[in-house]
Amino acid sequence: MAKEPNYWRSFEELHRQSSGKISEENSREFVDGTFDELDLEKMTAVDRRKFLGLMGASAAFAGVGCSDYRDQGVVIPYNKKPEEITIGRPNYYATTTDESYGSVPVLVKTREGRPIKINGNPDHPVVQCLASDAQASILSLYDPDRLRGPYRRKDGSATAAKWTEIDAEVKKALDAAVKNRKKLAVVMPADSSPTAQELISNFQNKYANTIVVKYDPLHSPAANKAWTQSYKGKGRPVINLEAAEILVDIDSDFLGKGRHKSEFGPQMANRRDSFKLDNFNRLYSIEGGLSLTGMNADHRLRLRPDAILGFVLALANELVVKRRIGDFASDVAIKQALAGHDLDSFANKFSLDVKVLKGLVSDLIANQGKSVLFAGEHHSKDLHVVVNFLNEVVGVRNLWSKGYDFGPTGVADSEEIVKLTNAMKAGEIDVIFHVGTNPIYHLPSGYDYAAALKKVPMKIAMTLIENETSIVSDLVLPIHHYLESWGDSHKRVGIYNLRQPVIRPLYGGRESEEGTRQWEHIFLSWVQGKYSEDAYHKFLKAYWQKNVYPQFRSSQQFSMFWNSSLHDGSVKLSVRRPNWQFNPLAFVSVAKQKFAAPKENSFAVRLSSSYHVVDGRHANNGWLQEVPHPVSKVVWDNYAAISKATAAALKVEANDYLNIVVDGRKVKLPVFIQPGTAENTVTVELGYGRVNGGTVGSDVGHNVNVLLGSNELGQFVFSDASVSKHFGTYEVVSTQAHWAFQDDVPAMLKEMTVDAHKRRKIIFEKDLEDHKKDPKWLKKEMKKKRKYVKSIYVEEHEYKEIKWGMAVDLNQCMGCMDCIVACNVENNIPVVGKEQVKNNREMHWMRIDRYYSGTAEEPEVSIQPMMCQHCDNAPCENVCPVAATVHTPDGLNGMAYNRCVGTRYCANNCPYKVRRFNFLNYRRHFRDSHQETKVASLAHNPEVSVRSRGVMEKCTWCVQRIMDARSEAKREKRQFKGSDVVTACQEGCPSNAIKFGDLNDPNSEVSRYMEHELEYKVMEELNVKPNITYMARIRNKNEEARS
Amino acid sequence: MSLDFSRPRPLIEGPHTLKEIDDVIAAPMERPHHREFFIALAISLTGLGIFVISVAKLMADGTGVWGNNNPVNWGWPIVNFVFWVGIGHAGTLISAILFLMRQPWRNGIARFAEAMTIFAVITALLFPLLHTGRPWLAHYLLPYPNERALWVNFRSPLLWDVFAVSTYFTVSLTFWYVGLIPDFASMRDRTTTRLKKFIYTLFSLGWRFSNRHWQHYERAYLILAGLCTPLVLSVHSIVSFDFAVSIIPGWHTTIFPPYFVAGAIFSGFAMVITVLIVVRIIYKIEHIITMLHMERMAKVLMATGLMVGYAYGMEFFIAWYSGVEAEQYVFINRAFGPYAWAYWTMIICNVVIPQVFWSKRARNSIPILFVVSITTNIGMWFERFVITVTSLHRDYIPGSWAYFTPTIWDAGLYIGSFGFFFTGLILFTRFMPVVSMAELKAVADGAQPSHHGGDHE
Repeated sequence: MAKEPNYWRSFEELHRQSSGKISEENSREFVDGTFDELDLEKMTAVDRRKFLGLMGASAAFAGVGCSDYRDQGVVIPYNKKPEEITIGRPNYYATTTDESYGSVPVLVKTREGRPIKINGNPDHPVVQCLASDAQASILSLYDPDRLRGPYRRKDGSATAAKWTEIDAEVKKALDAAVKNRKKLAVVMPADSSPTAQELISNFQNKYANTIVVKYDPLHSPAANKAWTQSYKGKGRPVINLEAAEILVDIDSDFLGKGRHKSEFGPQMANRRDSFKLDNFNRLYSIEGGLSLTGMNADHRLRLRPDAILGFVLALANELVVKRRIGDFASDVAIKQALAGHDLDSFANKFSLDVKVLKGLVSDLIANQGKSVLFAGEHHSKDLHVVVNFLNEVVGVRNLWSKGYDFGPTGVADSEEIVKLTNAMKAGEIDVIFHVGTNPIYHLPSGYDYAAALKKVPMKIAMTLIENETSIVSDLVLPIHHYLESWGDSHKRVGIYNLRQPVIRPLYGGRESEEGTRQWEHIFLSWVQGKYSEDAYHKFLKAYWQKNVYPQFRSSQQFSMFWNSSLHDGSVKLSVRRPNWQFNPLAFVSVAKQKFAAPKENSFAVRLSSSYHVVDGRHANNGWLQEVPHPVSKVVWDNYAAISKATAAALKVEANDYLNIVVDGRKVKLPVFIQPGTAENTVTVELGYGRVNGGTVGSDVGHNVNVLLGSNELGQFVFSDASVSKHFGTYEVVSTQAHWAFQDDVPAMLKEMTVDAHKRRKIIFEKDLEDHKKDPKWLKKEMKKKRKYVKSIYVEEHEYKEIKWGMAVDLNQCMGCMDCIVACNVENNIPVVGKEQVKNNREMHWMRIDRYYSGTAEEPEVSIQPMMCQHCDNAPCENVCPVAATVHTPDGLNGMAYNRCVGTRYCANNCPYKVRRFNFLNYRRHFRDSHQETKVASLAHNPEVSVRSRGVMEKCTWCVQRIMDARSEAKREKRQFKGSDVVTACQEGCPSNAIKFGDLNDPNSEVSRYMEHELEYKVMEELNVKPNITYMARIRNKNEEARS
Repeated sequence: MSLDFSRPRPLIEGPHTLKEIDDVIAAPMERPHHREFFIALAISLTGLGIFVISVAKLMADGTGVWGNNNPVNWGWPIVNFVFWVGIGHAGTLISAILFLMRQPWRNGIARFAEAMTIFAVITALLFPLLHTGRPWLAHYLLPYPNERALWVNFRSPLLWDVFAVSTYFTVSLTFWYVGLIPDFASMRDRTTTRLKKFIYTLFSLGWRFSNRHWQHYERAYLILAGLCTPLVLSVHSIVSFDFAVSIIPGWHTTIFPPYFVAGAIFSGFAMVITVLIVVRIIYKIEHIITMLHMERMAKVLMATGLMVGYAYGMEFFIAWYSGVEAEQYVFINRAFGPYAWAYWTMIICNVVIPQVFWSKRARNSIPILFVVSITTNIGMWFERFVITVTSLHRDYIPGSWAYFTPTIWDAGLYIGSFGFFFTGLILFTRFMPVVSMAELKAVADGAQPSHHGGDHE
């Protein structure tokens, strides 16, 4: 269109054409044709807003999709918050464990309803601390192997069942047994619960043909029987160790094992306090293998276990007949009975150190009324009778504490078990219940229990995890962990412990048809004919109202009494112990017997429980498997400990197999050369070699239960065993080798290796007498060490407020390893397994170094807990290129896991070698990533990071506890003090050897130790300025024995 | 052969025109691929494969696949790192220090030695990276402003290492490249294929052999040589600080810096000899890399070997003289303890065997040179093993003493690292001149003005 000239004079003219109309073209916003193709009908439905919305959404999706954010599961806040729970704050509940050596009162720390740590109950009248097994039992609660529902096994295939079906089936079987006049058998642990006893009685009332067999593989009735013979009374006194001057351990390991170890620990520590050197007691140990007690002894005599009885008789002869000590000195019958038991000739025959023996005798004479002898619980009744007599002679009555104890009562001995198996074989038993017991593993093959069990038509196992007995049972009923259970127990006569659930059952719960149930509850439902959720709780309460409450003649109402008992975890009734009368006749009749002396070149075998897995019940607990043996430092295994000379005579080396035959019972075990073992003596621990022990616990070590059997020396000690080399080897792994006794090295090197810990001034020791003569010896020594020390660093760290420090009293430390377990639980330490430990990759943040000095035959043992020293001039901090390990203003050597790239330079440069590296992802260690499962991770302390592979870690002095205590102090608006913090190891130490606090506070406990004359720091000459101080070990040796 | 000692020995044997020199050196790049090349490449690629598998296993499972344990936190990877860094020393030493000292005999071997340095340092750098627990976080070692608001720790010798080795690598690479420019230009002018031409053109940076270019080049080369010289000494000194700055007995030693540098030159020369013996045969350049070169390198080898031997003795003396129990123990334990076999292997290979070079006949015998150069490298590997492992396995606390046993993956990574190194080196010989054409011409007969026209007759 040709454009016409367009002149205009006004706007009107501009917009109008000559025709006077507003032109269409000009009235439009856009030029013609622009919208020709714009057809609203053809447009998509996406408008601008929608487009922007879509674009925004896709950007967001892309952003989310490409990030590596992973959903960590559902986090649901409390809809209705329980009154007692504050998120992030722990709650504590008192309850009771069920360990084999008796129930232990505990205080359970829970976070958001989940138990994460178990400590001793500080309010308990007699036991305030815990051994390793009770501390680690938290892991068993969260064991991924736990059975999650009942099942039925028919022709080898298992099918899940419902509890109603189970109940019906059991009822049918029970009724049928009653109808057919057949018997029922309940094989249950030797539990001291009075309520459970009542329940079983009720069950027996309903089904009168029930046999109850209480059984404990480690139980030996000898001591109780001997007591009854010697004192004609029931119950046994508990020794007040603190009042004793002279302690004589007669192959008993009373500090390391046994019912009272947790009570003896603190008492022993009170007599080994560096601030009260005049108060030190003296410990003699007479034993075959080196035990924890022997390791702590001031004098130790090596004696094969089958000669121990001869020794105590000779000692009795020396004291009573020769030295005319005690009330029986002029008793002719006793004199006659002891004739021929001469201590000198005995010492000569077994090459015992005569000087030590003289010291022992004169100490016992000088300390009448303050001496006690402990006979090995697992020795024969005869030995106990003689030791009862000796104790009476040295006046042990003064040391009896007020409380007394029946010990486990009604425990079946071997005759009862034989009776049971005979009944089973004869087809008299229709239904058998194994309540948490595992006789197929525990009983030696001589009982033929497995074959007998096949004859029982209905076998019912109640168990936490699958075991050797449950896998041959017809019905397997999963039970509650003690932390999910109600219950009670006797600790002593007059002391009742209560057990309350601290977590809802992990599996099932309520009146669920699947899931676990408490074993008492299952029986109760059979007694009562129906199951209701709180039936056993009510039953327990009713029992207490009827039987316990009236004894207290309390003015409180029962509900108040009940609630306060639950709160405290225990109640105590003051009781008067019986006035036992000693009867020397029992002793005379024992002493008169002719004992066969051990044959020349014959072997003695001594069995005992494991320090950590005990009788094998804790086999699936990785923490306990990996805690080193207190003496040998062996992990994940048991072994035949023999002396070096015996090994040479047998022509075996460490890790060779030994064939051990006792009365025709045979076992094959790897050799471990244990310094300090008596010649021709084999000591072995039980509790290993489980076949169906769970993912972690199966095929660990060797099953030695097969050797068990009664003889005149008791069930656990054997004379006249035959021991020979067996072909093949098996590697036993220990966290600490003893290079000191290596022979195949040049003399120059050997000389420097022997006693290296003393040459390098890592361990300082002194005999008490020498120390008294020159109390400043250590100070002088340290002054020499500090002389040349100068720092290259100009500026030093300033510690304006608190400066953390630790003191370890080596006089109090017994080397029991309980602190290590406490640390493991607190700090989420992974279990790495035997293969990794073999390559020195154990992850424990602390260890207890054990050093031998002297000869391999008669070694002196020194122990030293070793963990991060939190040095002021930390060599690790210096060399980390990424500043992942840094110094904090309060003197901690901090570790930032996120920052760590894993150069491991810090670990190399640490002179104490306390840093631990995650060489692999150790959570994935076991089959099915056992430790990575959801359940297992519930055991983690939420306050502590879980470390993955490639990261360095080490002791933090429980920095999470420090931070927690600090914020607590802030909240309460008070000054934060060093004493507000207790580290996990300190808390777990039964002998109070670890002290922690503020070094800037001159009145704190640690500051007092820093000023002590026995104080020294390890390797001070390096000028790394460690903040852990050790009290030098003082050995309270007898003057006569020393000269 | 009677020699006229009034004249220097010729650096290139036989009469060569300048063109012939070019032809000979360029031949490997221009010849079609030949059998020896493929055999060598196949072997080194197998090694590289082992390397890749070992690294994959390491990445999948973690540091735990190796034998490292708690007292011995540093094992083979650190031994290998120091070993390879040491090998990476000869190149720069030959090209820079000998250049500054006006040693014309270096011209024949400098290029190859430099290439070896480059590949050895790359190989070495892999080890500290792979050796960390979390290699994917290696950038934490670099000081750059970051969202983590964290800085590095300048007190740590490992950080010094990062700077020392990376600086050394950068400068060595630049030095090598600058030296290569005239040769790239020669290759550009010689090649006929388009792709090669394009690449050589790119790398020759427009070099036109003009007088001005040469002047600039000579100046730049001299400055870089000056820069490289202190680096040769500093790198291994700083690597030695990784040990010397620690407080571990057997590591905490002031003798380490010179001792490590001497050791590095020792091992570097040994590796140069080993490889050159093979290369000069494969590429038939015996007349360019002559027995004169070999003999001089043998002399350096023996001299540095004596220095290293002195250091071994001095360490023992100082340990005794210090009166420090732990220090004395470490040394006696080295010689008589569980790792005595490693210690005596080291002594025999590094101190005893190189003594054969007192004899001129040995210095001029290719088989002896070859064997000794290899035993030297074995010995030097063991030296690093002895320092790293025997010091750590029994240090201060007798309670934590242990024994270290390597695993198959330790060996895999070590063998694989040779594959990595040789693959690089073999590809280098195929695509770049192994001897500097430009520099060689400078020492060829008649290249320099002389009174009698360079006539030897």
